[in-house]
Amino acid sequence: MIEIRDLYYAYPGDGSGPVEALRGVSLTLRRGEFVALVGANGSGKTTLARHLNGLLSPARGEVRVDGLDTRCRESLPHIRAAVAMVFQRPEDQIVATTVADDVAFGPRNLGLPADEVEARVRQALETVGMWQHRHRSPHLLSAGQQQRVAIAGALAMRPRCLVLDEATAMLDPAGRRGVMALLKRLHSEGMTILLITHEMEEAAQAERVIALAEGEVAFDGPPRELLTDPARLRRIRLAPPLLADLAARLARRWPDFPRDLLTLDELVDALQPLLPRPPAFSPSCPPASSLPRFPNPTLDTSSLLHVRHLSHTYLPGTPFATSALEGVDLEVRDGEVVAILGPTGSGKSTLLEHLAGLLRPTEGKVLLSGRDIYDRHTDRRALRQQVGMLFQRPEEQLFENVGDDVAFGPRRLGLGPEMVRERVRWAMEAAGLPFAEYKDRFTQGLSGGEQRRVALAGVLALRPRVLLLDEPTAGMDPQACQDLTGLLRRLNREEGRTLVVATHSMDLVAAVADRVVVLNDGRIVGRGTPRQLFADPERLRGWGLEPPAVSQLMHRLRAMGIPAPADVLTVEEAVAVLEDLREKPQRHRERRVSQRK
Amino acid sequence: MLDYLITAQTLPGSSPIRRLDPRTRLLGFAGLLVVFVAARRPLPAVLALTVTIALVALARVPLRFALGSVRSVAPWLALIAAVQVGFGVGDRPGCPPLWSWGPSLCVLEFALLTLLRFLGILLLMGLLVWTTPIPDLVRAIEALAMPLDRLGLPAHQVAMVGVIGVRFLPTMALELERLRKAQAARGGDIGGGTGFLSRVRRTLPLVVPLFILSLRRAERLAEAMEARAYGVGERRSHPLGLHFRPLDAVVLAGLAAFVVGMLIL
Repeated sequence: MIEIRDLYYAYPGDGSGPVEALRGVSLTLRRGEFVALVGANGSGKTTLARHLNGLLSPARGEVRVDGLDTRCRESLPHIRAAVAMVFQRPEDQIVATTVADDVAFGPRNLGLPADEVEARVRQALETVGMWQHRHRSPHLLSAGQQQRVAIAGALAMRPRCLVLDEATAMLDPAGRRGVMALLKRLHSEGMTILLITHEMEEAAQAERVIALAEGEVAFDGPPRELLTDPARLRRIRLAPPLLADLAARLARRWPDFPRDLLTLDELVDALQPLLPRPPAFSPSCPPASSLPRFPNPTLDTSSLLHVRHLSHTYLPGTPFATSALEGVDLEVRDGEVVAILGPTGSGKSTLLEHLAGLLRPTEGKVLLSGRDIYDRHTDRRALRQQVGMLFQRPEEQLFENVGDDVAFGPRRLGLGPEMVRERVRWAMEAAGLPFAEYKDRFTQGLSGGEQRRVALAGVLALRPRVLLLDEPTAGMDPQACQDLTGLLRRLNREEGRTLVVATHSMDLVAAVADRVVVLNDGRIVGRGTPRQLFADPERLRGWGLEPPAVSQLMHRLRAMGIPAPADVLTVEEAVAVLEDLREKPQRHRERRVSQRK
Repeated sequence: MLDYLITAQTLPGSSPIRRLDPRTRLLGFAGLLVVFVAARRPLPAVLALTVTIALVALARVPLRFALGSVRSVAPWLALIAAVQVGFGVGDRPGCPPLWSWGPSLCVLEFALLTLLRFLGILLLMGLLVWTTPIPDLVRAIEALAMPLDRLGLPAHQVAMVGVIGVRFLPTMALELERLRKAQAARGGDIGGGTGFLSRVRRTLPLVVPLFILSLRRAERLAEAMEARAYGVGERRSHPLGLHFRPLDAVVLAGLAAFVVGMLIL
C-alpha cells in the first residue's frame, strides 16, 4: 500500500545548519496491517507520518502510495483520499462550526456530489458513534468526542489507510479506550492503520511495531519482540510497558518463568499455576483496609489549604449556566502531595483555579492558613507568593526567551535586578535547567520536556509554598514523564513544597501522591491513599479511570483465590509480593506490603 | 468575554422565516440593507422599515425582545438627531423653514432619515442573528461565494477565512482567558493602579504568547486542512443542508422588486 525507499528529510535549523529528521528510512506498509510507530520525542515519527500523504516531500529517496509518487502534484487528490490523517490536537483539526459540516469538509474538497457527501458524513459519524451529535458545535464537545469527530472527518474520505499522530495523547483513559476500540474495529474491517504513540500499552495491541531512533529505523517487527526487551527499549529512550517489565524481572529471578509475556492475560496464565491457593482465602471479601471510604474530612485547622463547601457555576443566570463544582470539601496539609483524579470535565481544573485564587467561588470558601483568600482584604501579592499554579500545556504560553519567561513573576513582584536574577537562577536549577546553559535560549528551539520545565521554573520563581499542577505530564514522551515525575518528587521531599496535582496518569499518582481525591461531575466521589483507591479497579473504571496495570494483575490473581494484596502500587513492590507468595506458601495468611514511608 | 459571546444568539422556536433557505435570508438582508443605506428621502426608508418590522413579526420574535435591542441605543439615536438638527446637517439653499424660525424642512427630513436608517439596520441585523444560527450563516456565505470563484475571484478562500474565524473565535477567547489566568497566577495581576496606562502595561505581556499561540495553531490547522485534501481538487462541492425551494424564489423575487422600486423612488 505504501512504500518508502531510502527517505531523507531535514528541517532548516536555527543557525547551526539544517536538522536531519529522517536518515535513510525504508519501509513497506502492507494493506490491512495495524502498525504502531514508536520513538522518543525528536526521533522523526511525525516527520515520517507527514510524508505518507504528501504533506512533506522527500529531500531524497521516495514515497509511493499505491505506486503513485507523493511528489507528483497530480496524484495528491488520490493520495490524500487514500491515506487520511488524524492529529494530536482535536481542537486544531476541526474546521467547521458543526460536527456534520466538519466531517463534510474532506469529501467536499474532493468535489463529490451532495448526496454522496451526505451519505459519507452519515456513515462516518455512525461508525464513530457521533451521529446524534451532528448538529452540535465542536468546541462544546469533550476532547474524546472531538477526536472521534476528527477520525470521522478522516473516514469520510473513504481512506484505505488511517495515520494517527499521537491522536490519543490528549485524551483521558475513557477517551483512549474508546478510540482504541474504534481502531481495532476499523482494522478488523480491513483498514490499514498506522498509530503513532508514546503509550507502549497501545503499541502492544498492534500487529507490528516500528521504532524510530534519531531518524533511523531501530526496530521493525512484532510488538512482543521489542516490548518484552526492556534493555533494548531503554537504549532508544523508551520505557517498557509495566507488565512486560514485571514479567522480565520475574523471569530473571525464576528460571522457569517465560520471559516474553506482554499482556495481562498472559501474565495471569503464567503466574496462576506457580502460586498456591489457600483454601481459607475468600477473594470476594477484600481486606478492610482496602475498602474505599468516604470519611468526612477532619476539620483540621492546622491544614494549609482548606476548601469548604465549594461550588462553582459558569455563566450563572444564562441559559448556558453549567455547574462545575458542587459542595466540594478538601484539605491539604503542609508538605503533602494530593492528587486529584477524574475524567475530563469533572471539575479538576476549576478546583485548582479556585485554590490559586483565580476564580471566585459561587458558594463556599477557600482558606489558606485559615484565612479566606477571596476576602477583600487578602493581599494578592502575598497570595501569589504562597500559591503557584502550572496550567495545562503551559509550554504554549511561554515568552520568546527562557530567562525572560522565568523572570516574569519576580519582576511583577517588583524585586530588584539582582534579586530577580537570583530567583531565576534558583528556579531554573530547581526545574533541572542549568542557568548558564539555558537562560538565553529561545523557548521555541527547546524540546517539549524542556519547554514544560521552563514553564515550571516560571512558577517556581515566585517561591510558592503550594504548587498546583494541572496535568503536568500529559503529552510528554516516557523519558520526559519520568524526568518530570522525579522533579516533582524532589520538589516535595527535598524542597518541602506542598503539591496538588490534577492528572490522568496513574503512574504519576503512584509515584508521588500521599492522598488522592476523585472528582466526578463536580463532586468528590472518592478519597483515600493511592493504595486504597487502586485496590478497587471496578470502582475506578466506573469513574472513567484506568487502574494501573499492576493493581489489575493483583485483582485478577485475587479473583482466582490467590491471596495477593490488593494495594500494590509499583513494579518493584509487585515483584517482591509475587516472590513472597511463591516462596512462602506455608503462610496462608493475607499479606500486605509495608506501607510506604 | 464569554458572556459577551453569547449575547448575540439565535432564539429557539420555528417560524416561516426560518423555513426559508439561509441564502434567501442573507440576500434579503443585503437587499434591505442597500435600501436603508441608499435612501435619499424618508419614504423608501419608512417602507423598508415597515417591511423589516413585518418580517420580525413573521419570524415570531417577541416584540418586547426586539424593542429591547433598540431601547438600549435609543438615547444615542436621540443625541445624533439632536446634533444633526443643531448643526443643520442636510440643509439646502432655498429650503423652506418649518415655521418662521428654526431648522429648515430639509434638516428635519434628514434627521428623520438618519433615525430610520439606524432603527432599520439594527432591527435587520437582529432579525438575521435571531433567526439564523451561525453554521447556517456560514454555509450561506460559502455557497453564495462559490459562483464568484468562476469569475477568478478568491471568493471561497475569503469565505473560508470567515468560516475559520467564526469557528475559532470562542476557542481563542478561551485561550486568552487561560493565558490571562496563567499570568495572573504568576503575579500578572498585582502592582500598578487601575488606571488606563497600568491596564495597558498588564495587557502587553499577553500579546507575544497569544501571537505565538495563534501562529502555531494556524500552522496545525493548515496542515490538518491540507491532509483532508483542501486545495488539491479542481472545485469544492456545495455545503450540506441548503435547500432552495419555490417559496425562496418567490420571496427573493418579491424582495428584489421591492429593492429596485425603492431605489428608483
